[in-house]
Amino acid sequence: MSVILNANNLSISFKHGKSLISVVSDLNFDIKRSEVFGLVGESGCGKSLTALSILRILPDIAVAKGEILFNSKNLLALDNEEMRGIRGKDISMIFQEPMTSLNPVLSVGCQIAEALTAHFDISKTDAMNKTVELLRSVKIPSPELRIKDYPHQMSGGMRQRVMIAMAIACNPSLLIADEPTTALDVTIQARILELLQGLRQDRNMAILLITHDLSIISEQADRVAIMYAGRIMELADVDELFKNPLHPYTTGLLESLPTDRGVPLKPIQGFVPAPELFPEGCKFSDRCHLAIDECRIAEPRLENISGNHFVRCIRISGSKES
Amino acid sequence: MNSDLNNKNQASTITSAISEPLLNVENIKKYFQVKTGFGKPNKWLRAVDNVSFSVKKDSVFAIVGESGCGKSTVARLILKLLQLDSGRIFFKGKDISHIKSDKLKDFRKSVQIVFQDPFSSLNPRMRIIDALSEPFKIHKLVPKKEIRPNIERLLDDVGLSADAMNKYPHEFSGGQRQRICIARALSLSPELIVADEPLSALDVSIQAQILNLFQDIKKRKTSISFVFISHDLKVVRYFSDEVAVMYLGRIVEKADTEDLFKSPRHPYTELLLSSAPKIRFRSEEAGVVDESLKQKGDTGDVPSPVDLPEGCPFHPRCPKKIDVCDKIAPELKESDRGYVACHLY
Repeated sequence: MSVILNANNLSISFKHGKSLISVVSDLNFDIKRSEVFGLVGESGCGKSLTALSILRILPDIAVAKGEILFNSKNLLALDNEEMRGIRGKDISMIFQEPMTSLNPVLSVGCQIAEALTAHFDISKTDAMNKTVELLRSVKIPSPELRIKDYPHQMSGGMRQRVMIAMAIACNPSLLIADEPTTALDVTIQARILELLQGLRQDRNMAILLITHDLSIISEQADRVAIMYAGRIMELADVDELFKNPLHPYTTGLLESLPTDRGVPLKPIQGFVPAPELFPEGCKFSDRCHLAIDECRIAEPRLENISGNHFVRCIRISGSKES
Repeated sequence: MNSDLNNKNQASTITSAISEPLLNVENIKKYFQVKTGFGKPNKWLRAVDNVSFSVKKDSVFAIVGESGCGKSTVARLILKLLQLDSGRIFFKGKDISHIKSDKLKDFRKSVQIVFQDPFSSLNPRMRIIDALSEPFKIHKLVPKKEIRPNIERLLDDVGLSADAMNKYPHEFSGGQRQRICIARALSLSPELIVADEPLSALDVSIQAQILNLFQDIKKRKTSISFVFISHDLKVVRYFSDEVAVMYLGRIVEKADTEDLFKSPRHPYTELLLSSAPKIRFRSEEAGVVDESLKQKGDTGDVPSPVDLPEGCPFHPRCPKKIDVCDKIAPELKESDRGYVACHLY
C-alpha cells in the first residue's frame, strides 16, 4: 500500500514569552492509502495538535517544525494559497463538537455547498444538487428537506453526519477525525463509526482517527500509535498491539480498564505533568513501574521490535536484544 | 378513608422494616415546562416519568442511560435539589418527599453527592481546608479545633497528603479535584452517596484510580450505599450490584448487574450493550455482527422528550416492534429475573 502522508521529526512548541515549550516532539509516522490510522492518548498528549498541524490550523502561538509530506509535498513549507487548495479538498477534518463546529446562521445545505464551490468551478444549483447526494450518502433521511435546516434543528448525531458530509464533499484522500464520537451517546457513536467505515471503503479514503478510547481503536483502526507527553510510545498493527502490548504505558492503559467485577484495577500512578515539568529522560519514567535510573537520564528512541511493532522503552527493547 | 390511609402507611412501614431498603423511590415524576413561543401553549418535558426503585443497604445501585434520559434528574430529586411533582421518596422508612428546614438539613447529613465535573464543583476562591470544613461548620458535628485533624484524616482517606489543605482548586489536576469532592462527600459519614457521572470528565488512567478509591471506600466504611449514575457500561458492570436502564424518563429494565449484562431482555438494553465498543481482535471475530440490531434506517436518533411517541417510547427504533407497541406504553413488570417494561415479556 502506498503512503499518502508522512510525518518526519514533527515537533510542535508553544511560544511562552521568549522561550519555547515543546509539547510534541520528534513524531514519525506514516499513513497509508485507505487505512484507518489510530492515534490514542490521554488529554494533553498532543494528539489534537498533531492533527491541527497537518492542516496548518494550529493556534498562532504554536510553531510546528519538521516535515509533513503529503503526496511528496511538504505541507509545512507550502505558501498559504497552496495550502488553501489542499485544506478541505485533499485533506479534511471533522471535530469533536458537532454543536460548535457548524455555523448557526447558515442552513446546513449552504455550508456543505460552500466546500464544493470553494474548490470546484461549479454553479450553485449544481452544488446544491450534489449536496443532496452527499446528505444521502451520510444516511440523513429525506435529504431534500433537511438541506434547508439550520444546525439547531438537528440532533447531535445528525450534526455530526452533516460535518462528515462537508468533509467528504471534495473526495479527500485523507480524513482527520478528531474524537468524532466523544460528544455522542453510545448508540449514536456506533452508527457514526459504521458510517465512517463505509465511506472509507467506498471512497478509498484514509482516516486518521484520534481518540482516547482504546476499544474504539480496537474495533476501527488498522494501525495505531499510542501517544504520551507529545511522543509516540508504541506503534503497531492493531491486533499486534492488543495481543502483545509492550510499552508500560500501553499496558497501564489496558489494565486501567475495568474487567471482572471487584478485581482491583491496576491504574497508572500519578498524573500527566504540565509540558514544562516533563521529567528528564523518558517522559513516562515518573509514572512507570518498570523505571530504572537509566530511564531518567536519556530519552529512549522509538525502536523496531519486530515486524511493524515499534516501542520507545529501553526496558523493553533492551530485554529483547539480550 | 382516613383509617384506610393509616393502615396503608402502617403496612408500608412494616414491610420496609423487614426488607429494609435504605432508599425507596416510588412512582416519582418530574415534568419541566418548555416554552414553545409566544401565544403557543407550553409543552411538558417528561424528564422523569413514574420511576420506582429501591436501594439496599451496603449496595451499589447504578442508573445507566444516554443523555437526556433523566438519570441526573433522578439524582437531583433524591438529593432534594429539585422538588418532586408527584410520587414519594423514603429514606430509611421515612417519607422525605416534602420535608423542610431542620429535617431537610438532617437528611442532607446522610445523603451526599459527587458531581461529574470536578472543575466546576469546587469554589475557585476557597482553599481546600475551607471547602472541606464547611460541612463540619454547618452541621456542628465536631468542636472547632477538631475540624483540622478530621480534614487531614479525610484527605488521607482519599489518597491526598495533608499539605493539600492550604492550596486552591486550580493547583490540582482533575483526578485530584475529584478526590477532594469525594472527601467532601465523605466528611459527614453519609449512608448514601449519589455519584452523578463521577468518572466521565477524567482520563482512562485516572478513572481507574478513582474507581479503585470508590471500591476502597465501599470496603472500608461500614454501611455505605451508592447510587451510581453513568453512561459507561464497563464501569457499571464492574462496580454495581443492581442496574436500572433508563430511556426517555422511564426505567425500561432493572435487574442484578450480572444478569442484566449476561442476558439483556429489553431491546433497548440489547442495543446499548451491543453498541458499546469492546476491545476485540478482528481476525478472530470477523463477521460477528448482530444483524438484527443493524436495522435499516436507524440513525440512532432519540425522539425529543417533549414530543414522545405514542405507546412505548422506544418503538420507533425497536427492531423487535410488534403491533401493540405504538399504541400502549408497557408497564415495568416483574419477569423471571428482574423487571422489564416491554410487551414481549
